[in-house]
Amino acid sequence: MNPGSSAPSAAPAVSEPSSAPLPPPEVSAPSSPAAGPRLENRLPDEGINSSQEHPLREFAWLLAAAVVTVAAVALLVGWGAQWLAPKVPFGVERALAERMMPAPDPRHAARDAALQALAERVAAAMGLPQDMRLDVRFDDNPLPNAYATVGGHVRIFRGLLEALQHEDELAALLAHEIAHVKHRHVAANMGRELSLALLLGMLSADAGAAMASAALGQGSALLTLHHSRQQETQADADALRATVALYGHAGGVTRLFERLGQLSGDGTPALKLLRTHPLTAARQAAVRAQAQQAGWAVEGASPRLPEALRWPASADQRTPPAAAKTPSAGG
Amino acid sequence: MEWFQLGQLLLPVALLVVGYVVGRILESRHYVSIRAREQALRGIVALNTRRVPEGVDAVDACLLSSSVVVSSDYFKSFVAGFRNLVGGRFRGYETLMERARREALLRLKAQAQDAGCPLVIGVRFHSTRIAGASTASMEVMAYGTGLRLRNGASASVPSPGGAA
Repeated sequence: MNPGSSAPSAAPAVSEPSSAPLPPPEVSAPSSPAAGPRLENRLPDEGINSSQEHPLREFAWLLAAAVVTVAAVALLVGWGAQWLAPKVPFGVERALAERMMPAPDPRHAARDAALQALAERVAAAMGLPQDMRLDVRFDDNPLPNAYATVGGHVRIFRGLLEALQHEDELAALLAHEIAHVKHRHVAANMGRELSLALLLGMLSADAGAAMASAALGQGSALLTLHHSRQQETQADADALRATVALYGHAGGVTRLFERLGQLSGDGTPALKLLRTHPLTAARQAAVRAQAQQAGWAVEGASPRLPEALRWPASADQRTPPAAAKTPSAGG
Repeated sequence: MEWFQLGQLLLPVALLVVGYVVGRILESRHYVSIRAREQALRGIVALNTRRVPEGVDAVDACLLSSSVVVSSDYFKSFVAGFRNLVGGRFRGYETLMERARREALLRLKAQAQDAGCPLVIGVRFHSTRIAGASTASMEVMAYGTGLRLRNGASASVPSPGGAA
């Protein structure tokens, strides 16, 4: 009746939100004390304006649909990134790295050079393409870790270097990181994370949607971790081959994993789905099995670490060795 | 590290469970209270006609208004977020808004009772989103013109079989 009105009811005589249209008011009902029309409000009907369906049922359906969708999208994006990454020229990665990476620390020049020299030998044994230049550096960080990042940059932390004794262990570690470079894992991971972030960012920024996209993000992170563990397994296999090619036995890899296990342990095996790497024990077992299958010697002789990388280091290098040993997640 | 990640995964689950259980208990309690008060306030009639119905002998009029502010719970907002993706009925918000409208009308009737008005005409509802985009919170307002009748007559005739 009133064009500007926001009243929801269609029936002119009734304003109860959920009542059905009433019959027209009876004029002068005999029992009415006001002797006027018979006016009343019916009690609202239940279940017309609101649903009787159990909320958990709707929740289960929506969640199942979302999980299936996210799994499909994340897998697709993951495969897409892995397929596309090797097709991106390595020069693009290098150009990116040049803008991101700080200049090498001159105090560590001797260590950097020793690491670089060994890495080049390992890379030659692995058949790393000529255009994939490596840039291996020492990082004065007490955590037992090492990583490969954009543009062939590899960092070895002091915390991990301290724990190594023989050259073949370091070679195995370098081979593992060089395998990440060779297989373009860094580019694949960047592509995957970027596209997932873009996809989730496309959802509206509404309160509920923000929650939903956070949940979907957590779900896709689990799948990303799965990809990450697959990459580590691939890098371990390459590292084993390279170590055997250089030293004639797999001792470097198995001793490296022993050190890693001593340094950081395996955390809680029940939570292995949340880890970036497979459990160290599982990695070790896989390497032993692979070596046995190929008929490679599991142990053998190896030179000690190069002079510049030995610990405790010569007096001109800073940081006394006693200062470090912070067990933490290993790389 | 992995415990931290596990916490990140489990915190929303815990919030969902709390939101669901508490929200569900509060909602069913609210419905019980709404139904009881609707029964108790049947003597007050609210209509949305603009004019005094014919035959009603009004002696006095006053403006009555009432409002209710409700907020969604974590569970409802979470489900609504997924609903945003696929479309369809926001079932959780439907009960939320229904409760708010019925509560607003009940408060209007309670005010009419206090003011000695057995009849309220021109009733309108108005709803406004409040608290910005980050929280799903609504205000529902009801307003109308309360009428006092000659000799304190009552407006409604409770029908014997009318209980829904």
